[in-house]
Amino acid sequence: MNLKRTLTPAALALALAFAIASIVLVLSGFNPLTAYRAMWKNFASLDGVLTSINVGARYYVAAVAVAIALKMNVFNIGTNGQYQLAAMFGAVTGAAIRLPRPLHVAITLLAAMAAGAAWALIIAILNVTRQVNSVLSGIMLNGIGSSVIAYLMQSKWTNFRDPNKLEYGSTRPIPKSGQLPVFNFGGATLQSYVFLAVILGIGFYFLVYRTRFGFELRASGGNASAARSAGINPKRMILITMSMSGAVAGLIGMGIVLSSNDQLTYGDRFPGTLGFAGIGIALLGRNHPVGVGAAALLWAALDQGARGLVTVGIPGEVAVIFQGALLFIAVIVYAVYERKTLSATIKEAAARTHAAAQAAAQVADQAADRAVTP
Amino acid sequence: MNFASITGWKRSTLSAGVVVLLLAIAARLFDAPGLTGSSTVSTALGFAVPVVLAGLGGILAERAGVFNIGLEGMMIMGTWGAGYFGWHFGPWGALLGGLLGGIVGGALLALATVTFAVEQTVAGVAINIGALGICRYLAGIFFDGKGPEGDVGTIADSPSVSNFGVRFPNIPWGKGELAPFAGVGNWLGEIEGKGWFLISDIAGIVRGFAFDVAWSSVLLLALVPVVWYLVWRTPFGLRLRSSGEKPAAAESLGVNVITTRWIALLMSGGLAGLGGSWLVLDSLKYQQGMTASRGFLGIAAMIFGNWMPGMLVIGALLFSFSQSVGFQLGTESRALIGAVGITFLLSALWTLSKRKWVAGAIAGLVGMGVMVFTFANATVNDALTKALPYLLTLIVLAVASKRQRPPAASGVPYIKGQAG
Repeated sequence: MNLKRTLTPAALALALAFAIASIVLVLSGFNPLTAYRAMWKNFASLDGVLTSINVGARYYVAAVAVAIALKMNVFNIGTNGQYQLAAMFGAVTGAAIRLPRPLHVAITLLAAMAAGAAWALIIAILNVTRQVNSVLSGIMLNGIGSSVIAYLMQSKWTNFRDPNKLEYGSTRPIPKSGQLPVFNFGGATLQSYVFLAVILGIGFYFLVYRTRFGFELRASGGNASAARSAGINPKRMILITMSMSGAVAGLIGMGIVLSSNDQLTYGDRFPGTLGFAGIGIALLGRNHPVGVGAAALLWAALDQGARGLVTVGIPGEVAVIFQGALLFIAVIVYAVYERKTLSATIKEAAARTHAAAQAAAQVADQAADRAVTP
Repeated sequence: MNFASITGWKRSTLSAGVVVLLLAIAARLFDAPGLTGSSTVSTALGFAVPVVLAGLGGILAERAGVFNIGLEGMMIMGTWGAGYFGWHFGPWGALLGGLLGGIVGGALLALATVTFAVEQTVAGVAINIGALGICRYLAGIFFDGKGPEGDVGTIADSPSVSNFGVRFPNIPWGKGELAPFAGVGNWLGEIEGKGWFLISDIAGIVRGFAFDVAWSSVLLLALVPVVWYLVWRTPFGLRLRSSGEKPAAAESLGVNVITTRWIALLMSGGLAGLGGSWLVLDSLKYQQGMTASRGFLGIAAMIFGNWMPGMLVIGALLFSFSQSVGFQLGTESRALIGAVGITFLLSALWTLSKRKWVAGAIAGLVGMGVMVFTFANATVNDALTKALPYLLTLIVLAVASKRQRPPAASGVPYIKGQAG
């Protein structure tokens, strides 16, 4: 990875997004400086930073789930459905079993991952056997997923619902041994889910860039027909990649379910759009474990900052505009920059080949001369 | 007889006939006359409009060589435009506002995919995410706390938008209703009430399609033949399709692929935006999230329709019909699920007769499973009813995707000068 090549387009996209957000603010009759100062003030405190990190970890997991599939050019747009189903199954499992702490948490997380993987596998199977576009099947499965959740939550047969909570549908609470620890810093908290996200990122890096499977994954994404002739089975790759993507997606909501300053259950008030944010963050971070991490933190910091806008009478949706503009500009800048550097590389290579050919011709000429003259 | 050899309008008509017969049988078998009732069909026709418009937008874009997954976002931008202009200028304003909102979305996609050759799915997904944010921001500024007393907008919905008032065949401008039409409508209503097998069903369906239709539906559905004519019968259409099949060859013949794709995407976005107008005119205001994946359903209907307008409408009706049935009693949903089961059993027989044993056996098992479920339950759970349109879409995609032929260059970014 060439650092300059990575940072230049990202910085350019960021600057352009700032410019657009500022223009939008001015056009709406607000002072951009006031807005940015209010956002910064709400972010730059221990609580603001730690909240951004906690939320950023969720975004990071959501983006890694998408990035795994995107590494081989498959879109998993169904993470929204996958993580909500997984959170429900995880919460039900966590509440049902009684085990010592690390084991309890591990089994809860595994249940969630299995649910996410199973739901994602449907997309892969439909794509492999029936050539159904994965974006469309993902969207349909998101719609079906929320119905399945509603059905399972209200069904007497499954009995997932906590009978003590009547005001809204919720699973039973998870006992202490099944919770992820939360660190307290004088009121501000850091969820240990953050470390889980970091470990996941490291695992993602090693899998993609340091294993044979990762090589095959990137090869299939880069040039499918070349990969096929190199003996890589594309159908098998899609099935494996999608289940991995779904398994990771299953973890998106588990930070909320298992950390005791949040709800410890799955219920009606569970956030439902983390998956879509994850897609944007994966594209912004160019599917790279470090880039996605930076993008996730930025996204979460913008969320956190936006809450401070109310104090100066500016709609908090400025952050959403900024995120949208940044994403849109970033995909353009990345594509253009990549093509520019690619054509520069090709020209350079062509020049080098040309020089080498000339040198070789010279050598041949000399040899011929020598051969003629006895 | 070989179904694959029947094409065009004959195929559409035949498919429609088979579906009507199936529904009539299911309505009788499961004692759910509402399945083919005029109110179900009328609602379905309405619900189909935004899906059809998104699908038309998808056809224009893909026939020109751009896979437009951003239709959902363009429809969202259309709903905002329709809400704003409709609130200020009435129903025609809503149509114009939706068109403009969608065109802005189309321009953004064209800028990314055509001018800068960004990967098309990536750019489209970015637009879907961005459109949500843009509309929430704009709603916060233009709707929140604005509007007449008692009808103040919020960040999630606009002040009220007025509709055309009367519905087809009544005419909003002047003359009242088309008199002979009303008589036919009453007569069809009588037949519908008689409960005759197939005849009453057809009467109900025809009445649902042709009477008491919102003017926004009439005006917007008229765009189906317009788009067909534009793409398949005009010089511009020829250029458009050649840009989507073999852009390098088209360019060598003097077609400006970049311009053609830009125009196609502006129209594509405009159509999706008009779908948003329909939603606003139906709900009588802008609501956040009111598109509910209809842009994506449009793409699915387009794939089902093999990138042709006629079959697209049938595909859209299939989805919207299942949605409309969900608004009836649970018995109607049960009958529809029964109809799906019968379809699976029939296609199993068809497949087995062609000696495709495995596929036939799978279809047969699924069909039997569905039939067992139908007979075991007297009524269908509400949550499952809501999933039915998505589930049917998924089944339809699974059945249709493999045989379809998308435009050859759709999804491939084109950089000017590839023709050499």
